[in-house]
Amino acid sequence: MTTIWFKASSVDNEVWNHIYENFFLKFSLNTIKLIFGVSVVTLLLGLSAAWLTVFYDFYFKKLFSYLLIIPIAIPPYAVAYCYADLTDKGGILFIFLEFLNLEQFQYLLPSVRSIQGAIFVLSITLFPYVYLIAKFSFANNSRKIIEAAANLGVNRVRLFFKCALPLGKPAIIAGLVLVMMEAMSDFGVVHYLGIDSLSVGIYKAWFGLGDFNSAARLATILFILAFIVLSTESLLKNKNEGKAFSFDLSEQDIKIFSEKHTLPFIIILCFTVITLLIPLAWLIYSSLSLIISDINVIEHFYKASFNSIMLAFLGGLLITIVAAIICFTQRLFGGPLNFLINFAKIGYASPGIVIAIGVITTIIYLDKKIIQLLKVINIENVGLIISSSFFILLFAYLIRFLAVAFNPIEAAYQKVNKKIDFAAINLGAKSSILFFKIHIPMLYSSFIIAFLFVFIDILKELPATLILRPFNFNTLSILTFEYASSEQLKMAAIPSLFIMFFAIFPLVLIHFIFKVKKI
Amino acid sequence: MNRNFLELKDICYKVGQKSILANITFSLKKGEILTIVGPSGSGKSSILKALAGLIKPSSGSIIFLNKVLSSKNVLIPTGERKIGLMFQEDVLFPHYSVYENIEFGILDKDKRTRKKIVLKLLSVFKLDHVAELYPDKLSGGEKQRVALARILITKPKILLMDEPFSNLDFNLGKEISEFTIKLLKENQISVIFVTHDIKSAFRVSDKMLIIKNGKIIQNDAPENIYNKPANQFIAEFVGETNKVEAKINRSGEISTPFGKVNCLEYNNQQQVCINKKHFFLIRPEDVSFGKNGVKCKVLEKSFLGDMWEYKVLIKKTFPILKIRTSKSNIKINDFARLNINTKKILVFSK
Repeated sequence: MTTIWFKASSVDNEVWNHIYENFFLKFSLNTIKLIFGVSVVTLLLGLSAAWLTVFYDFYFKKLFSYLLIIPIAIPPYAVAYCYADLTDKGGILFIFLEFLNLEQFQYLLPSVRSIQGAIFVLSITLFPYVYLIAKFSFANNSRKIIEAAANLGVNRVRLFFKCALPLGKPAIIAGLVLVMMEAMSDFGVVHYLGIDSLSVGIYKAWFGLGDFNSAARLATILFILAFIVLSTESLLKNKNEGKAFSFDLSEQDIKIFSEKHTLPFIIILCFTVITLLIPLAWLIYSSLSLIISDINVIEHFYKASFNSIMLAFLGGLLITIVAAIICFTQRLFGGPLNFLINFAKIGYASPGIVIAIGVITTIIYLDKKIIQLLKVINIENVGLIISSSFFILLFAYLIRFLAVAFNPIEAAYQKVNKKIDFAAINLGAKSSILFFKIHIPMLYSSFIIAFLFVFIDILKELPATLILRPFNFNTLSILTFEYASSEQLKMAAIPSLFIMFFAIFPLVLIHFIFKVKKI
Repeated sequence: MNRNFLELKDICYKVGQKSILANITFSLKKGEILTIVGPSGSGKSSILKALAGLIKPSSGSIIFLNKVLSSKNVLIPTGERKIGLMFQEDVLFPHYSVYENIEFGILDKDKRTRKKIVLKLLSVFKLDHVAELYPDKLSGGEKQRVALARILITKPKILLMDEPFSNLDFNLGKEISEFTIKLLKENQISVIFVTHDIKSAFRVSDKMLIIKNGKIIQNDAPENIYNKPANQFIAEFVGETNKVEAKINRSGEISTPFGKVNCLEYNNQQQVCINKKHFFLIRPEDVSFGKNGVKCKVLEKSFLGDMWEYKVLIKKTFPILKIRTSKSNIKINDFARLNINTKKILVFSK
């Protein structure tokens, strides 16, 4: 952050004036519209999906409640390619209308290459965050109160507005803040759909106009927005309300309304079709049509798959270890470390592109110092050591996703009675024994969940990876971006499908951990 | 036996501006059982935490066997104090078996020695049959026995127990507490209990400490706490009472239907005492029915299991009295006669 603020203070005036006069207002307004629009739509989608799956019984309910989670595994930019391919002129929908001799209605087809389109795409990929957190809140935390209210004869609408919603407020706000942060930090969707948001502006200022410092200045605006969003969370939450809860994929439905309903079934079916089945079908169709014509095309993605998994694995491991150590230290020493944890959340709110700017400046500075140091002992021509390795990527991921790992670990720590620690310490256990013999065995499932969430996020991450990757180092997300940038959407579908495939495994694993461990 | 081996001197503990403990001073002898009682939030558990080394007092000192455990510049870590702490709720390590839980405190010893000690304790605590089970498979009583064994394996000189049996049902709690006290007495381990169960406090204590708002308001033997409470709060806290307002005369006496009673405060501060409002307290179990005594009418009668409770009216200007007795032959609306040893009537000023 310091680096970015420092760089932002010394811009090339000509470039900055050009950006300020022509683009600044548009970048900022589009970002605000995006945050606001995505918040409203995800809230509508997430809350209604949670409400319907918890309080209504309908056919294939269990299957649908799982399918509604899967969009988390699909990279948002892949969904953007899908809907762009469907709705663009000459796309599948146009052909379909032509086939039906309904060309006169083609003009009615909406285009996703607009701010509304970006809101739509981001909302259908981000709504599971609100859905999961709201569902957990309705079914677990407010369960007894909702059951008591239903027993008093309160109807469903009142139950929702008078009980479920107020009781779930802190959790829902936490989920919404997560969505807002994702929306403002998105690069892949807005860049592809041609929306000039701040994250795209930063990219253009840096790589298009060649002024790193102007990019840094735009990044500070995003920081301020992130800070406002995080402050909104604490403003909206009353002091006496509990902490938000981590994700929970376990099933615990309220059995107060048991008759089967058709309308909820239709609504949830529509949600599933739009958020999962259409993008999935498009990804499979596009990939298969290429693979069938040339099976060797898959070979292009072996190395990138390995790199993606390796990065996600190493990053997940590093971030989970750091988060666990910080949470453990905070539990022992409390107070001052709360600040560190809250500060880490700003990292999550910061777009990958902003993190890349902050990281690259710091690391290049460090590299220069290392070169100077090596020169003293007569070692020359070593080049940039850290910035040309993928350690710089791991460092960026650490800043960006530390908050993701904190969430389940913090929540798990809160469930462990502090007196267990007191008992162990009283029996003579040192801090290391407490951590390795008591906390790790008790909380290992939460550590695994933290690792898996980070794994999925790194797998999908685009802008920081794009900017900070070592030369000739490709990942699946970079290949997706590069193919999509050159409008080879079918080629882009293959790595997107790979990402989804690799991300579903951790998601299923998380589900089973929740189920078995009853977290 | 008579030497103080634990002393707390002027212990104060503050959280921010709020005073949790104020000038706590008391001592404990080897093998002695001290019980700390007081209302919720009075600071009982904080005393235990300060003794165990889980919090650092703001001021004051704790001296144990002539060694300073806690003072302005000293804080011996909890694990090195030889003071065991047992909690109210189940804080067994859920991922360890009963055997492993008990073994935890002696992990620095070699495996063979550990096994020998743990097996012995399992036998003493009658836990052999559950040694391989995990805490979630144990009953409430078994959990408390494991917790106790886990602490005793570290050979503490003092054991601090924070409402250890309050989660157990009455009979089980009584059985486990009797077993525990017997074992601790046999091993000459001093105990500091924190409880809100006055009956069990009277039963097990050598000494009782009554605490309110972080201050000690009486430190005495159980019978003195009951019979000579330092103030009205303690009198009412340790047992149910009938409270009657009364006037004091120039001789420092209060008239009751059962005779005159002296106000103990009167001798010290006559003028102040005369101007204060007074009342007397009668415990329901101190009054009995007899052939002679004060006449009363029985208004209500209810069965309490081991005794009967009556509500009686002596005269219209006098409040209804509650009486507990084993006598069962008195009916509602009967007239009866009441007796009380006037020495048992407690007089306090407001």
